[in-house]
Amino acid sequence: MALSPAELAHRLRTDGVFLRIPPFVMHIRSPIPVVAQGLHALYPDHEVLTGEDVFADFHVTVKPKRHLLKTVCVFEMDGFQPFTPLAYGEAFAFLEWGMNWCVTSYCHTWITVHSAVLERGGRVLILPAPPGSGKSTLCAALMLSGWRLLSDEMALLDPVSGLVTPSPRPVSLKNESIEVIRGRAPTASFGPVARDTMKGTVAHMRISADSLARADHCARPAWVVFPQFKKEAPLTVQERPKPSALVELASNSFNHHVHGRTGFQALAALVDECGCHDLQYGHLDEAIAWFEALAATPA
Amino acid sequence: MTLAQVQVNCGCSRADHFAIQHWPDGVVVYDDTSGSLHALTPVAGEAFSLIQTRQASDARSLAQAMGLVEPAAEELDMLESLLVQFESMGLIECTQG
Repeated sequence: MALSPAELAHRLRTDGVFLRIPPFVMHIRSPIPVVAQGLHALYPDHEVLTGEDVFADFHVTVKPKRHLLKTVCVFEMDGFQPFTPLAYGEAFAFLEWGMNWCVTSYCHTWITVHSAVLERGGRVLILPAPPGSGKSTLCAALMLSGWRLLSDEMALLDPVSGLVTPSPRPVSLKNESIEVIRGRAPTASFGPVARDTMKGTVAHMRISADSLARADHCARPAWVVFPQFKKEAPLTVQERPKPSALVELASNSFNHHVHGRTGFQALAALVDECGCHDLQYGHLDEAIAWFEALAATPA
Repeated sequence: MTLAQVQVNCGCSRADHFAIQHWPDGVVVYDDTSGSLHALTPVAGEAFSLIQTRQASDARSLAQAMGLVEPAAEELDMLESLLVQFESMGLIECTQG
């Protein structure tokens, strides 16, 4: 992003910024300073598109809404407000959540699965998990260990090719995980901290340069691992039966039903071709070591 | 009174609406109509496939199609129970008489 903080803030307040966030282009507008701060801190290497004929997949706005005793912020896509307003200080996190919603609600070219997605040696690791399972913490730590981030939030699975399309964006960390990851990567860039959100304290971490540079490189899934963080627990790994893995993967999909039988067959093929595991961990270093060993296994 | 005693006849009128993924440790049935998925044990998966393909229609014919030469009463009860579960899951329909 070749824009100064002041120039970025000005553009966001006026015509907006066309930001290439592969595989999409987002047209973002916001007069709220924390949105500009977040974009400048976390998207410095993403391309800003200019010109009159730039196409945007989504036109999104985060703007203030005045109430008598407090000002909140609202998220809009094409003028539509799908969410209730949030606290003003959550504006940047709201933008990130709103962009997730745009993709999961409208991008049915892919089967979208709620999961973190990383790649090592050309092989994709899918980490589907509900909130609180330690998915994003693990994802951030793996990226810091050299894994390429495809997404912290969703797998974009092409039902025809079986490949996953990268959509690398900042990693969303919550509560204790923020300091855990800061401790492992003191030089990592973080965006604005939003406190007292419905998820607790939230901060986003900038993605690795390699993850963005290779954002156009799709890759094939090799592993599906269902993580569960349990404080101080020893590392345990169990093979997940394929039928159970398929049902849980489908339950984490936002839209496999839209694809009908083709969607089912695509998810079934993915599970069939992948190693499926349940991983419980209490210490990040143990978990990372296990994933390194996994990546070292022959294809 | 068990299903075997009242002579039930089970079938899968929507056989074409189901896609099945088989693995050695079980199968998953996908229902085109509802978009729902059902994970079945290997035995349940085998039984459903036999009903779906009209190779069996009750507990006794299921036992035979599965290669049970002289099925024990307990085995027939288990197959009857499977049929009841399949019906409750909307996979098959059973009629009496």
